[in-house]
Amino acid sequence: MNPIPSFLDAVRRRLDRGVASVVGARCLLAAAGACVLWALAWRIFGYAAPWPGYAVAGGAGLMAFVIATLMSKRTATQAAAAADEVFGLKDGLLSWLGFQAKGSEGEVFDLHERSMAAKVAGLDVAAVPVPRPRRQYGIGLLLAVIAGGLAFLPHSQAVRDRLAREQMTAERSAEVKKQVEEAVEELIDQLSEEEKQVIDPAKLRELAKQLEETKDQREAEKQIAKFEQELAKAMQGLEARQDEAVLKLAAEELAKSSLADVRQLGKQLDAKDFEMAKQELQDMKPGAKPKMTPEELEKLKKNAAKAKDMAKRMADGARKRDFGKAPKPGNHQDAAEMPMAEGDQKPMQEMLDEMDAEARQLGQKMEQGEFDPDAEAMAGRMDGKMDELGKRLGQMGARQKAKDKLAKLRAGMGEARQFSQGQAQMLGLAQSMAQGQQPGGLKPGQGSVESRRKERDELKDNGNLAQLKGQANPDGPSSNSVESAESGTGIAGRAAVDNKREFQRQMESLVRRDDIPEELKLGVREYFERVHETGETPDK
Amino acid sequence: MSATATTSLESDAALFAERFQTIRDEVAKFIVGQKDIVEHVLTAICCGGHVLLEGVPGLGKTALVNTLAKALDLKFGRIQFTPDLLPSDVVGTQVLSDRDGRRELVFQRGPVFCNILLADEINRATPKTQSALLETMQEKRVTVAGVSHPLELPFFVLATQNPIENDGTYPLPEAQLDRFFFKLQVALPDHDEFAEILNRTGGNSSPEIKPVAHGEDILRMGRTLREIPVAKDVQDHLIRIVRNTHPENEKSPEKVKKYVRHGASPRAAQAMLAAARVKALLDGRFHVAREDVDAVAPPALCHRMILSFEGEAEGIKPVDLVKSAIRGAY
Repeated sequence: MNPIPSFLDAVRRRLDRGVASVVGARCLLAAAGACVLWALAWRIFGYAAPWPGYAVAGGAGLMAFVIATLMSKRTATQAAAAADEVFGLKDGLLSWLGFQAKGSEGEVFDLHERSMAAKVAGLDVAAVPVPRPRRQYGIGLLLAVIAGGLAFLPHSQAVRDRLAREQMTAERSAEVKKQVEEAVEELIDQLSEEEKQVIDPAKLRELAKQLEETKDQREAEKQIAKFEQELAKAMQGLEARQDEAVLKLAAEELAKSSLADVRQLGKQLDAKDFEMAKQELQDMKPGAKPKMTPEELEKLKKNAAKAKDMAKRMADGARKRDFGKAPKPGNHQDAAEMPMAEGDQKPMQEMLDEMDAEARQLGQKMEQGEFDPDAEAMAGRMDGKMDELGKRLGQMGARQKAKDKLAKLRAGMGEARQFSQGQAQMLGLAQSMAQGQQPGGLKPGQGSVESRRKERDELKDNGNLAQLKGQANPDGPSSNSVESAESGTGIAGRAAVDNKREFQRQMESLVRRDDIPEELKLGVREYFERVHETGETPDK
Repeated sequence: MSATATTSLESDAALFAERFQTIRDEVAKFIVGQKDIVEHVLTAICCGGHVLLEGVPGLGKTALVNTLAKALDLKFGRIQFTPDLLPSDVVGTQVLSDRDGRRELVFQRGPVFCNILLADEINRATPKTQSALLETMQEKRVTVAGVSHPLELPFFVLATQNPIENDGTYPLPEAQLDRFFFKLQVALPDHDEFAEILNRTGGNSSPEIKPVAHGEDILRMGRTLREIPVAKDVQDHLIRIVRNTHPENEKSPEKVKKYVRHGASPRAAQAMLAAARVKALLDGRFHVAREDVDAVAPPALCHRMILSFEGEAEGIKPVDLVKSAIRGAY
């Protein structure tokens, strides 16, 4: 039996073992090195090394070992070359393989095979050197031990704190989302039908759904800020500045009326109490109907007179408005985001003019003393015009209320932001909205003048007054010293005059702004009046 | 393939080695040292090739050829090449002769009609005369006046040239150098060899060289060695070596690319293969090994590589280039 093939096979297997040994050592080195680098990379940033990295490196090392071993398997030619070199066969086995592959036959090939077989028979395959990379295995194991040791080190304190913060942010952002959704649902439930026409509930729900749970505090704040911004845009869309400006001017004219009801209407319009104004307007309607009793006719005449005065004054006041400077209705970029934008309605000016015209006609008719069907029709048309105005006022009232509700929700976002930042322990959006957006303490303009403070000021209770009571100081008595300004000559110089002018200018600009609540304006006005009560009262 | 009794090829191979060794021993009776030179010359003779021996005068070149001729029992001829030597002085010429009262031109053989020809100081003859000899070396026949006269086989030319006397010489062209199987540098003997030379030649008697082989034996040895197979891997190795001597080959060593103008020809590969077979047979193998090829590469390749100007200027030795070509073949 020819021993050459089995000999070559044995050599090949031995070489494969050697290759596997080398590849195994290198894979171990690589995997252990990767684990150490992995662990160090995490440790540099203060983290404990995650175990999955070790698993991946180990798996990859194992896979690399299998693939490299399979790919590095020695061929018979390589085994023959190695055996020739080790046993000094001078390319005998390599030539034998070549002759076999070529299918060479003949006397010389027989001789060659016989001579090679004779040489191979006495050879021990164990003489083929197999590399044993003990050093690489040693280093690999050492690295593996180091990597394992690194894996047991915990997170650094800073990382633990950061992770805790992230966890808190995630929990709080989830809480914020939940509460915002609840608050939105509650707000939607509270909306009247008229308010629902100006606030789109679906849009609100969509905005609330855009809030997402996040570990990133900045992202959480960004989301809240965006939600707040969207609310602001929605509020902007509910503005009816042009109509309000017209009604403001109309109110000024109404205030000059000799009729108490008309003046009352003027006050309500001035205070933007559109619901009451609507009611007042309803009361002033001529109330025409067929077959009126003499008392009813008398009332109609009175109301017609009131209506005429009211309509004339309102129309006159409205004409004072400089429309060239007024913002165009519905010009807000985001006004279309909410329904019932101002621009799709008849201008207030036109409505008042029409009402004035109707009132004049009705007044002339009534002065003639007859109440014929024409007068009844005119009174009916006047009722219609006043109903139209009342409806507009109702809508404006609804817008105002909706805006107030959105403002409450928006104000709650500040609390939500504080909560997400960890500055507040609890978040109660629903309670905040129920209590309103007003700050606690004195009303605007009531405080700040220490020397004139009453013994007990009436604080506006927003539920947070308990926080104003202070805390007991266990280390000693709390400070009760009063710091007062140094006394001076008391002579006002140029600087004081300049200050006065500046205050006046600021106040004037403040009270002209539309986006500041009336209550605040009144408070500011009151403050300045109180500040200057010893001197001249500043102009409005 | 199965084990059989001793075959004819096996006995031929054994005989080859035995005869080779016998001739070498017989030559060694007179020639002191120069073992490699003797082995390479014998190798070339077995392979039917010609050898160019280069060395300073007095190193025993002529004595080696003389001794070989005696040991091989071959007809020996010698031509001392000089500048006035004519081709007809080498190959022979037609002379007018009377035969039975008729005068006719008869071809008179020149000294080339022998088995072993010593072309002494071949580079002193004119190129025309050199080419007349070299054509004979290649064709192994002489053509005069349109008539071919075959030479008796085996036919070997052992040419010598002196590397230090360049005045009045005609260096062999590359094409003619290529026809030499080997070019061997005959080195100065060492101290002991010197002493032995003096001992052997200083007395009244000189060693008697007996014929230990004949021309037919040489031809048979040539047939035997051509039976030795070469595996593809070994043959590829040989080809890589030869190709590595060419500067235009991409895989050639940088030294070759820089210092060589022309590399070795396919004839060089043939010479290397034949010589490697002799090595294998002498080693008792029936296959050629890469080390056989490596061993015969320098004498077969050095004279076939033409150095570039840079190579000549820097005094690069062709043997170093051949060694780098061998290294590049692995």
